[in-house]
Amino acid sequence: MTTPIGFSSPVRHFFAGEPAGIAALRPGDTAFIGMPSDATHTSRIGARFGPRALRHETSQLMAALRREGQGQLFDLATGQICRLTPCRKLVDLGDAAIDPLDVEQMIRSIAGLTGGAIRQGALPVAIGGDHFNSYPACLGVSEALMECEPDARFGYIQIDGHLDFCDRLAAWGPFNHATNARRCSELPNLRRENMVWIGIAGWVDGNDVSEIEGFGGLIFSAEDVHRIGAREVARRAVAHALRNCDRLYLTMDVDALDSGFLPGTGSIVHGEITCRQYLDLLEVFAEAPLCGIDMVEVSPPLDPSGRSEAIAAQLLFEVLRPRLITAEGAQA
Amino acid sequence: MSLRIEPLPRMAGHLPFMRGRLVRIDDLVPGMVAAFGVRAGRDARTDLAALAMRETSAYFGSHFNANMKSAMDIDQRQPLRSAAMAGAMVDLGDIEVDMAAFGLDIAIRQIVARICRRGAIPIMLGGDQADGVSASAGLGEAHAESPESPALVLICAAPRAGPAGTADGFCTLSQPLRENNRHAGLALTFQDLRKSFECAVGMMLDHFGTKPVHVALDASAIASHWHATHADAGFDGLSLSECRALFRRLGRANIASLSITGLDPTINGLSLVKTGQRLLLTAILDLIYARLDVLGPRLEPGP
Repeated sequence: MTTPIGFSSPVRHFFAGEPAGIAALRPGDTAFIGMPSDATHTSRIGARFGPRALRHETSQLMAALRREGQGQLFDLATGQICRLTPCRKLVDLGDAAIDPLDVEQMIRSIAGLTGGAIRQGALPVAIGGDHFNSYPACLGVSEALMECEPDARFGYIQIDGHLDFCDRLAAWGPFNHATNARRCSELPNLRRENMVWIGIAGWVDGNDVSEIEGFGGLIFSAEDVHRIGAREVARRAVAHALRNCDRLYLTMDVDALDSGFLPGTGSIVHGEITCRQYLDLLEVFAEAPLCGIDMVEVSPPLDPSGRSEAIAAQLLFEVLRPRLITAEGAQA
Repeated sequence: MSLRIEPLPRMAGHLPFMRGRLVRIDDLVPGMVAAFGVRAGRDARTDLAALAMRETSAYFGSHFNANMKSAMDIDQRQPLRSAAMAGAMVDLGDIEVDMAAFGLDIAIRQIVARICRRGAIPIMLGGDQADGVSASAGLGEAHAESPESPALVLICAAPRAGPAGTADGFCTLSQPLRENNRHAGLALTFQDLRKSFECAVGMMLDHFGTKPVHVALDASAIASHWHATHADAGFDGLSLSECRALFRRLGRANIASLSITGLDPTINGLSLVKTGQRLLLTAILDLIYARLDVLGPRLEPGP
């Protein structure tokens, strides 16, 4: 007797959600956007394949949960019976149109999608791509919030091995994967004093550190995460990012993870944040009032084992857990 | 808007170690750190190690990163005096061996001795553990008439070779229960380092005293979770943090020469990523910076 395994379709959608356009989004939906661009990465590329790999991994993850639990799951961590969220609330908007030779077009394309999701009342979750893509994703959120709530301000948390706070790189100018945080800091409704970095490791520009701490930003190095503990760091980060703000933008660079766990990324550092610590951070952020999320720098060609995208999918699941599963009640 | 506005930094062609100047031995002056490569591989492709480390180092030298105006180690909150590095790091190219005339071990010994006599610190890239011991013999040759004979610290999974003659000044840091450890004047294990870092490093430094020291790092010492760098996977080796902390302390001793052996950059699957050799270079930089005393005082701690 054989068991059907379903079609191995080349077209999958983030978390097995439904493909649709911006107009189909409803308030409370989660809108996934692919940003398949690594043209603004300056060294080891491959992150343009990230969205495709994560569509595959996240849909596999959901398929496994559906198969295992028959729609009902028991969460060992919380002792609760949970249900998977209906697919219709998880919408894959597809990939932003990318012209690798035209950065400004790329910025408008990505910002149009994340901004569109905000205007429809959905949560944009943008998947890169190199880390520069985070800037247009955040820009779209910023522009849409300005329209909807002109006086509202939002905070910013970046989990990353690097600060990405350069103003420009010599050969690459102002738009590349080392400048995204500075470009975000220039957005009019993102409060610089509410910016937080977590997981920074190794050699950075001391001038950037002075400037960030000078305007009130907060940096937790990888060493701080070990010393203070991931959950406590996350709680302090949320408190800082939400001072005089009521929502925050979260950008997740997978290179904050120790490259022993996740080698499939372009700019490895001696990060030493473990998978467990990353998950602990996200468990706290999942409950925060998020107005936008991005995950960047998953580069499948740099990890022949394929575990990098699997870990990244699990990280995404953790931060989206309240949107992916619904607790139904406590189990004795 | 066009994507690139200026030429890219050179990442191809002949890349010297840490983008140092290419010089000859006669050009060396005291205080320089002079890298040279050994193109020899007995058991594995360690003959490619020098090439791999040079290529990797082109990405990893904080002191030559033009985009980092004021380099700082965020974990330690410690700035780097990049200007003090200027001109100190040089590359001599690969060692030339006339095998008809003499063996590789003699060639290594001679070149290390010549570099040391000029007051520079040699860094040997490539070869295997035995070549590291040959390099330490070169340091001994350079100090033959000095009242203090040099010391050797061999950091590896299993010491296969020790210096000829006295064990005085010979220290091993390795996995436990290795027979050759008994040849060492001081045999420490990775577990000793983990149990009490300060105590183990203190013993090591006391053992060296004021002697000039050769640090022989074999890639077998490195835990494979960094990504395998050595033909024999080792799962209880030194972590990057341990290696960095150790090198920072050793760098403050009288390190006179250094060898990095056992790196096989062709290990299947992982060579594509080269994570291990990138991180290895990170650790070696710690030793170089500490030895050249280019790290500034630690700043206020973070949050």
